[in-house]
Amino acid sequence: MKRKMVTTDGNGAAAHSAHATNEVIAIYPITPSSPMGEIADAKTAKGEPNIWGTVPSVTEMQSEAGAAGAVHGALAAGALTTTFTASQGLLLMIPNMYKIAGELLPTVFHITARSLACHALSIFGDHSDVMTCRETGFGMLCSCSVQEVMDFALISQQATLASRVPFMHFFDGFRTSHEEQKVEELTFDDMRAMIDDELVAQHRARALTPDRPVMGGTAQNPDVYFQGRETCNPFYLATPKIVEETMDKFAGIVGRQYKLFDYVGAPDAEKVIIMMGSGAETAHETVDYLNAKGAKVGLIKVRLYRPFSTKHFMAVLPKTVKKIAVLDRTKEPGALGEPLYLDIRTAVGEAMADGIAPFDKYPVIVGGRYGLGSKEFTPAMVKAVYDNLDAAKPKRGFTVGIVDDVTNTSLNVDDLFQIPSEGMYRAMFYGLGSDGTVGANRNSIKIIGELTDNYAQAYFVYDSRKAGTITVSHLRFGKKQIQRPYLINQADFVACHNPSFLEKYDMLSSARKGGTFLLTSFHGADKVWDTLPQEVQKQMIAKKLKFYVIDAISLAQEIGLGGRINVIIQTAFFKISNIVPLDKAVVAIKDAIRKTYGKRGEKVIEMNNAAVDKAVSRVYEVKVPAKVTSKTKMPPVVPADAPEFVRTVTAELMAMRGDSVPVSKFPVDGRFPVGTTQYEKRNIAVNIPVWQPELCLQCGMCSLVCPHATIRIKDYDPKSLQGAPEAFKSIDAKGKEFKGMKFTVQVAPEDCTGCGACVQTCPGAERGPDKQPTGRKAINLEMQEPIRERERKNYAFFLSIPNTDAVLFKANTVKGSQLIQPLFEYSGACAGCGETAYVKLLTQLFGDRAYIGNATGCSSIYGGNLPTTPYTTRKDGRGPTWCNSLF
Amino acid sequence: MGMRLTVDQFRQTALFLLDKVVETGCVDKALAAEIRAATLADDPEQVAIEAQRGRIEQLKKQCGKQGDCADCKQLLTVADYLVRKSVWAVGGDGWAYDIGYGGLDHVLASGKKVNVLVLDTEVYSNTGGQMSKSTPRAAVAKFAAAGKQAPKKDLGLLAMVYGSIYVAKVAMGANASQAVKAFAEAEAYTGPSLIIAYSHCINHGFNLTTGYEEQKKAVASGHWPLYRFDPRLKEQGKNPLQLDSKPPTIEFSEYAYNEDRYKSLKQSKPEVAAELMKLANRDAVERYVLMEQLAGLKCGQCQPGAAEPSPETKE
Repeated sequence: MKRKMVTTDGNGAAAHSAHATNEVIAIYPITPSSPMGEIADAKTAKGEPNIWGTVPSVTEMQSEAGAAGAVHGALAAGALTTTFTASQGLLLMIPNMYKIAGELLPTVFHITARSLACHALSIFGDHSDVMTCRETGFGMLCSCSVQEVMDFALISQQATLASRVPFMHFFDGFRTSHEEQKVEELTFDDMRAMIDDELVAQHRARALTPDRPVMGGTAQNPDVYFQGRETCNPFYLATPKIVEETMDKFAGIVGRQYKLFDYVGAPDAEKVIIMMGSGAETAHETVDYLNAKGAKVGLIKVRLYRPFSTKHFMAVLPKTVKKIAVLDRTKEPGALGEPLYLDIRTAVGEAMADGIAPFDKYPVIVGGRYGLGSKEFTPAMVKAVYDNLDAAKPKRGFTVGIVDDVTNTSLNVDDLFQIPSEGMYRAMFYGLGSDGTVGANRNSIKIIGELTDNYAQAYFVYDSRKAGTITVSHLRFGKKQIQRPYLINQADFVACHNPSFLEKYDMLSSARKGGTFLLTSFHGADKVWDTLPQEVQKQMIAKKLKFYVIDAISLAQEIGLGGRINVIIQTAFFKISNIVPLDKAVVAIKDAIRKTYGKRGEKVIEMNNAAVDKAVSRVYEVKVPAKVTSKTKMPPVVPADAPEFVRTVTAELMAMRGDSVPVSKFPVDGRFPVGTTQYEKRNIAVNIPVWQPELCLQCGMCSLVCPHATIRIKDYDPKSLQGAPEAFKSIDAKGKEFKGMKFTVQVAPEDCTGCGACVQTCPGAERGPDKQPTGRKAINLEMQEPIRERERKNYAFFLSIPNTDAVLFKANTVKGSQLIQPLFEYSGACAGCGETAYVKLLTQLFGDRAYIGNATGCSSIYGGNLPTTPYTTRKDGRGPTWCNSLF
Repeated sequence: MGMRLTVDQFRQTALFLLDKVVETGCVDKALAAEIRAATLADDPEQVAIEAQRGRIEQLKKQCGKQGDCADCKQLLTVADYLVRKSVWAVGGDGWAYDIGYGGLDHVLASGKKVNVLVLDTEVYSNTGGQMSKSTPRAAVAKFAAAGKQAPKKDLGLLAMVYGSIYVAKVAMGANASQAVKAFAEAEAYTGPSLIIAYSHCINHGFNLTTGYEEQKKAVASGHWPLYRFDPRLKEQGKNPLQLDSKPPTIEFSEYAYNEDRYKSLKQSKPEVAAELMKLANRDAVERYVLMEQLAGLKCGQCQPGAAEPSPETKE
């Protein structure tokens, strides 16, 4: 039977199988697992049934603890039940997980394995959360790829019913969970063939019901608790074989054969890596490549980690093995080693004692850590791990992927080592958060996946700040399945969606020789070259790049799309890359527009369609001159007078070079200096407000409502105006308390996000001769670029004017509160955010003496997300002290 | 909460040591007396705080002179706690209404001087817009793809019931001075405080340039009544609840249908949307009327026995 090929990410794949094979779903949002709950909820809202024809009930609880409690109750009452979670959310489930396992209630929790908040929070992936749950009695089955997620979600569901052991089915958060891949979709027939209805009936027969009452969850005393705890042993002993049989059954139905431990590589390998998760895909590809070049290396992918079967493990370990490296994606400070490493040591030791090991001599076994918090794991790092095994005394407890210059655990990695990419097309898009790039690229790979026989992969890198930050899309296409769960570093196509990025990021270092560069610029094909920094020109010449330009921002504004330039760039990409014939691509893009924006109404769809049609004719090829002609250079990331920590650490993070900052540069307890957003001039506003003094009522509303503290007011002594820049505006202060003083409203041009909330709120309207408002106000939006320099100087001067003396005004009034320096400024919140003005007000009124315990949420992210943070201090060094508190 | 406990403990320690260093003669008695008085007065005005900081500087100088006095050394590590500190818990509605509600309730009930600011977007904003118990009826959110069926939880009312918590509901765009005043009053109040702040959000589905206009409409519809509940007013024989917004002038739907979170259900399931909107309109009016009635109660003359027990429960 031919199955449908679909483009989905890991969350979509898990939800597909989970929704179809359950009756009750209890959920709570936590990144990166939330999409599974969202998809399940949307399916149920649409009335989509499971394989038995009923629509699963989906219920959000008040926390993960509540979700796990609901799961426990639903299972005990006999329903097939599941949940989705990650990170500290999973940890909140632990108390109930012990109970669920202790009562042998069959269920599968689908987990996007994520880091835990320790010295800092990270929404990204590693195995710290699932490893913390090893003792709960849950089985642990790990998927390495999107296809495996869909497959294992089904396999684990059947295995739990057969074994009565509950399972965590986990895959790498923010890699597998969010990587889009073209996969074969399991059908309901597959699922019906896999799930044994007799087992479902048995589960129901064990349910608590007043029709056949029993007592569960009794309290036991020292005489019997221990014996009771040992009653589950036969179930755990039987589980590996059950999972193996389930995998074999799956192979019989679907065709893909999995084992509890899958070995790949040379049958006579001497060096073997053992690991689990998406990193195993990278290792797999590297093993094939190295062996093709004559090496003898191998890899064991651990699928069923709990219950751990030494017998099955030994069965796949080549008897030629002499050296083993075990890679853990977690950290247990103070332990002899990380969990998988310890298990492998024990398994090998016990197998040798029992005489079931395939070798006589105890191999060299070392353990190491990789990939914490989604740190990249590349083929070069895999090679470094094998190379370490060649050393006379291989490093134990090593790290790979970072530079640890404190305890010197890190392995040296040869960054030049690459696996060739023949027959693969790689594209990178540098977009601005909220400009729609990610959504459009997601549609693009669906289009390519569906219109061609190419396999496709997409992954999106965004930091956890809100709008206005950079997002980088990584797209790969090729005739073969794409086994590369790591970022592109040699792209055939690079697109830059915002001209200001060129001054900040060295994006062309990831373009391959002879590749293509598409730039969004306000300048036409004839003028654009001279606007590029020298560094960019040099690389374009050296790499012989093809260069295209499009003024997507003006085009979007012309059509009424505002900052959403996504479909314009998408169309340009299809035109230039020619992966799909343009006419077909245009039809497909418009289809996707209808699907994506259907909810927003016809007008939005029409505007986007117009953007597609116009974009086709507005892409221009630019001939790259042979010489560097530019007079500008990339400016330094932060000013030379910034504090040392900002210059040496923060600036590296801002320039996207954080990966190479060594351990020694970081605070040991996660405590960072405050007031660093002032060094990150983001220049993301297209338009900024400009003050018109004679219309101003001097009420302070503009300053109060500004979400980013980028519009400020001061009443001051006229003497302070000495040395003011020529364009600095000032007017006589209103109000008797400020008699004889001057007043200014000043905008921070490079920090403003251009939301326009101040203009909207401003009550100072100009009136024409007919007494009707003219539409002009005391502040009005103007294009930022032409006035940036002028206003930068004005703002610097404004800051140098002493703050209004606190004895002159009452702080508990609108204007009074705004005459106080905000100690929360230029945060990474969305343009127009409705929360931040309140936080800013808090810091104005009480900042010099405030402790802030911030629950996790938007406010903890725009408040405390690296590289730069917005809480700052007064001149005397006092200011809010801040700490994230989880819940 | 832990921060407050520490700050209070350090303040006590500092006051204890202040007496000792006067006894040892290291610190001038009059200065110590002034400091003690100001610490106990705990005046929230900025001018008073800066004046106390000046005194603490002097204190530190006097302590610093006595090289070998153990008490002085100890006092130097905690002297700054004699200046008023302001402890804030900040979070969103996902925290305050759902996952952190148990803890929040406990802190508010503790009577400790902790200020709580709830940035209420009526949805889990950070994880991409899932329903919370703050999400109003009829709104579509993730995890509530079919529209939220149950009405919004009234966190402010729940907190008011304790009687000893300063509670304010604010919306800067609707009434800026009320918002600023509420912050100042909350912080000055000697017990716990709770400010619930209407926060428009990208997840609401409209152009945020007009965010503060939306706030006006939320208030005008009765959905977001502005009020301040100040327990101090009870001592003056007044009703502690002051309603700061006028009776609804527009229907809830007139406000709601500016936003995609409500509009999208109208497009996908018009009948369900109409039914839910009818209930949501009623929710908004009822919410305002309840507040109006509570704010209209005559206080200071509260006597039991005013309400008749229902006939069924009469003995």
